[in-house]
Amino acid sequence: MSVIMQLAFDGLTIGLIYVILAAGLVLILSVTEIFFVAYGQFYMWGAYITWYVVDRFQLNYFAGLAVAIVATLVFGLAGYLLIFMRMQRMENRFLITITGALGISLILAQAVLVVFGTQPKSIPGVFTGAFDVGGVHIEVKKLALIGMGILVTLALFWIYERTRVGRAMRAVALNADVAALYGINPRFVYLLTMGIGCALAGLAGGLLAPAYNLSSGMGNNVIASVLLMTMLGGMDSLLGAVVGGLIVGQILSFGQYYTGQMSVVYLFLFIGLVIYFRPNGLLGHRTDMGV
Amino acid sequence: MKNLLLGHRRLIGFIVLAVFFALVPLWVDSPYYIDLLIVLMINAVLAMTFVMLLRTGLISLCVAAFWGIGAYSSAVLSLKAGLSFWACLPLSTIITAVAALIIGYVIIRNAGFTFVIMTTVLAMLFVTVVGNIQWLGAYNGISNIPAPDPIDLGALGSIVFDSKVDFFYLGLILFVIVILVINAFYASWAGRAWNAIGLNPRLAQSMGVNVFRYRLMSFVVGCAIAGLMGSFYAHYQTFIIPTAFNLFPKTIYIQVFAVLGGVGYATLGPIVGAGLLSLFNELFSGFEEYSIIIVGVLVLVVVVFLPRGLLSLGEIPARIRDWRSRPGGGGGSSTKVAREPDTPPGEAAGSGSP
Repeated sequence: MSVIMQLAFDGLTIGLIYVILAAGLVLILSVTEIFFVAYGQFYMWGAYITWYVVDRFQLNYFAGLAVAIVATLVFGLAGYLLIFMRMQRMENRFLITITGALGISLILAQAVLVVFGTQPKSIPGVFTGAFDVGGVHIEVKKLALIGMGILVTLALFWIYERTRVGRAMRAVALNADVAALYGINPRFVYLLTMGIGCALAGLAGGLLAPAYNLSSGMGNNVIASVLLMTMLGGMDSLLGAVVGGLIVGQILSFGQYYTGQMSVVYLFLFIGLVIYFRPNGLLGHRTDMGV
Repeated sequence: MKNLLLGHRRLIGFIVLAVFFALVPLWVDSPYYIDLLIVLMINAVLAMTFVMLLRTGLISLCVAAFWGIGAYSSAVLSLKAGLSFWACLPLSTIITAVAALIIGYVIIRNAGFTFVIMTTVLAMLFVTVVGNIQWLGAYNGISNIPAPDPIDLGALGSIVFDSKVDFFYLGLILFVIVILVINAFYASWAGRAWNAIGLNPRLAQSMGVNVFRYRLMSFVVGCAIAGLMGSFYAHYQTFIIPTAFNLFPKTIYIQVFAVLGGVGYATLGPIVGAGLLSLFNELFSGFEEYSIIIVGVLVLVVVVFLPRGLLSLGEIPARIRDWRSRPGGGGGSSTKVAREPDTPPGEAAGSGSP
């Protein structure tokens, strides 16, 4: 029993990181309609920048986190302004934006190796200590991750549902041309969404840095799971991202313990089954995205 | 006579290109460059299958995975079942086609993001799954795959596959056959249905094209061709490891080949793209770890400034002519009518292959 509780707790921890990642990707997918494969690399860069600031400049962890968020935000804005803004009006933009994202992915994945080297990295934990509750070993750093995850998700929902910016995002996601008629500048909304999405990836990476080891393959490893989550929850639903992230976190946590590396296969089969019966995901509405 | 030449410009260009390729080993004797050319042909064919799927509006990022299925099934058939290469080649193609039929039946239901995501994840799964099966050699792969059996030509002796040049000619024959098959598909009713789906799936459906069935067909055909090339690759390389068939970077490169050359050019585009990128890899090999970054920047530059590919540079003179003749009033349409006989039947918009 305590094993199951332990696995559920670990699954919740990683699941909330996944929720942040999936929410950022859902924003990018639904508003800008760019299939942003480079997303995983932003997550990796967030983690590495946090490590760099903490390790080299001996600064506080939260300073590192802030630098990581700002840096990935700037990367995302620059990527949109330099590359994707020109592509969005092209006739075959679906393919072209995917290729552009793949190009960015190639550059960022290799740049991590060039800048930071191939050694796995870790930074000293900020929150230390642990306690046992009913046979479950609860580490404070994981508890902090859960707290941060819930906080960030709530803040994101507040922005998306309650503020003018969030309303503009939803309007552009629904129909960019009609939104433009009502005085919303779609390009500005795209830019903002791209920035927020990439910053969320950086934030997730930075949050993860003190709890887990960093490696140069982490961006590629995580992108498959995040894509599966967005598909499970529905690609245009923020709530779907939360549900998808939590479910995938649990499946991976239990699957890793009982079946090892093959857990990804079972996850894929499960999600393939869900998609077969509900092509839009559990909470999504649109089927024709990107085509 | 002049009309005859113009009417078959694509065919003549294709024959000239094939003959040129066939003569390459006469003046290139370094095995290194022959190897580069063989890899180039494999890459070009894989990019062609990518373009083939793209024609129907499907962006498949798991081309390399099906290439890997072909390679693994061929290796297993020859090593565990003791079959000859000449039996493995068609059998592994059929196995890949069946796998594509089963997988495609589930994931082609809706195109767009869902299909791309499914194929992305499938591409990553292939490596994980094969890497965890001990029977397939796990992450160490399969080695000592035998070369094709000699072909006995009777009085003329026999062809023994012991040097890279022999494999080059075998690869070239497969390459030519694949190009002919792909172009035959494009010229047939199926190819027109694919083009119609690519232009507008709903319109095609209202015209009586079964969108799902034709998409599935292009998926199966494309994957079967990838499997054929995988079988050839396995027996040429004599060893295969699962990570060679990964999404990063193999499938990304396949897509980059197609987009660099121009996806509107079904056969020539992938060849140009693959050739150009291997040329760049040669040029920048001195930069070592920076070379991938340079390739990435190159991809971004081409995609941003030449979204229709490098071959669209060749259309610029024609476009200028069109643009010049337009103010004359009706001049644009008359040049179009004059150019009509150049395009053979079955050639749809934007497919200027050789």
